Amino acid sequence: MLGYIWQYVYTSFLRYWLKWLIRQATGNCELQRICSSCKPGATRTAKAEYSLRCSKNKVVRGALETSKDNLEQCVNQIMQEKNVKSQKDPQFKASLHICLLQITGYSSLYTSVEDLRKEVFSSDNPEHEAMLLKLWDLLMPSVKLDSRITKQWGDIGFQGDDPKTDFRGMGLLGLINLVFFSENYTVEARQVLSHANHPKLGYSYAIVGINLTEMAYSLLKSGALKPHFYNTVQGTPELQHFHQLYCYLAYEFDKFWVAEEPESIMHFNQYREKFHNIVKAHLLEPDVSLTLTVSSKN
Amino acid sequence: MQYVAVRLTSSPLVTLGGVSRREGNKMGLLSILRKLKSTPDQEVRILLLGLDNGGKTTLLKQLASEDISHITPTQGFNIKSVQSQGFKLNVWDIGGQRKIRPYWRNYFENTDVLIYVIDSADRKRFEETGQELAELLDEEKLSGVPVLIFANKQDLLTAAPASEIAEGLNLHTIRDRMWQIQSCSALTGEGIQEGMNWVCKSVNSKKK
Repeated sequence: MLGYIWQYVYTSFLRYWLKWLIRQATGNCELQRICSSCKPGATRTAKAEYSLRCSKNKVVRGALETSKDNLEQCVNQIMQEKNVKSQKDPQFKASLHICLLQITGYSSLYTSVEDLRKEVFSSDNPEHEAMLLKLWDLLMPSVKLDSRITKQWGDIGFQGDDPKTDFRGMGLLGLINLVFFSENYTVEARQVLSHANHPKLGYSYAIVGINLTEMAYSLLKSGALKPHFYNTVQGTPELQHFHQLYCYLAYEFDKFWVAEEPESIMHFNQYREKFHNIVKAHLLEPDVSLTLTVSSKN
Repeated sequence: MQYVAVRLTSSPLVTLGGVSRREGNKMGLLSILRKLKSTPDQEVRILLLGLDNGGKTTLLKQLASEDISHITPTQGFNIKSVQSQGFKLNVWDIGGQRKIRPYWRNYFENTDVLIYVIDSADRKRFEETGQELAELLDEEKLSGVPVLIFANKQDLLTAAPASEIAEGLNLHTIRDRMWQIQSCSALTGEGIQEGMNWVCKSVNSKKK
């Protein structure tokens, strides 16, 4: 209870008085102090985001919803409002610009990802079909598909003889992630597939992949991936960065699964949750960077 | 209202339990509470089976009033507990992929009701789903267990009506247990309540 009262008093009064006092003493506004005292990345951008969100000034708060093309102008406006002179703090402008690109980029990345997720896989769409066949060729270069509808799909971990019913709530996003991993990390993807096809420790490669897409998507949606993207992308995060994150999850989950040696595939959700918690714990570290690093002894 | 006020002022909090035991027949607030507490919800084990892409997980999430827009194929199983009509329904949703169907039998023990979910629009697999159901009904561990068949996906234009499915599956030949077929749409929620009412009713009549 006391905590709540303190928080209320702090956010509604004390914070502003403190900011004002420090501003008078140092001659720098809060954003300047953040940009100069924190190193680039999650710490700086997260603090800047908080500062912008709490601001009483409409122009400053509005920066969080500004489109990428208007950001430069927006930075100038903030500098004007806060009376920051470029000559006195030459790095501020560029630093704030990057912070804003990261912050606004995160929301636009979510929008793009959500659009792909909502796009339903359709057999009538030649692009979708081509992507599905490409996935097969990348993973099984030496085996030809007998036909479009075939039990062979089970060999790369789809459930039935037509993969289209497996994309479900993840839509095209699930397929694009699978193809991206196989295309950009072909050796690793085939290695993961061979683990997945292990007679005892195996799992269904494709549907577990779709499940991990769901994990990546939920982490993005909840905002949990912010520190990762703020640390790894010095600008606007794009779709490919999201696909990269999926590759990390697919590769790391496989390593985790093989190391844990679960009794059977029926325990999947239990181990998925365990892996999920590990990932979430990583995301609380200020220097987090979930990038796939290939171990040399492949 | 007056009665409660008098009780609270005349007896200190610590002795309230004793007071209400003596005068339980007057149905004071506490004795009502105690009565509620003394009949905890009866637990019911429900097994949710069917082919992959039938809609089992969507149904499970609908029962638990959860978001159904991000569902992915079930690897392994999901379990949720739902309160309904004085029962605590423990619903086990087991993946329907052919590869893991051999594991279904690990979940048969102590099942109170079997719910079998059919994709009514997937006519190509009616034969396969009928075979799986017939095998389940032959299982010793499931003998006598009431079975509810959900003719799911009725929101689709191509869905077969429940009567057609019942005929195709020869449901009328089932003699050794209670059974019911219910058309529904796990997506819109239509028909699910009716089905669950039947589940609770069949548990009640079985226990009597």
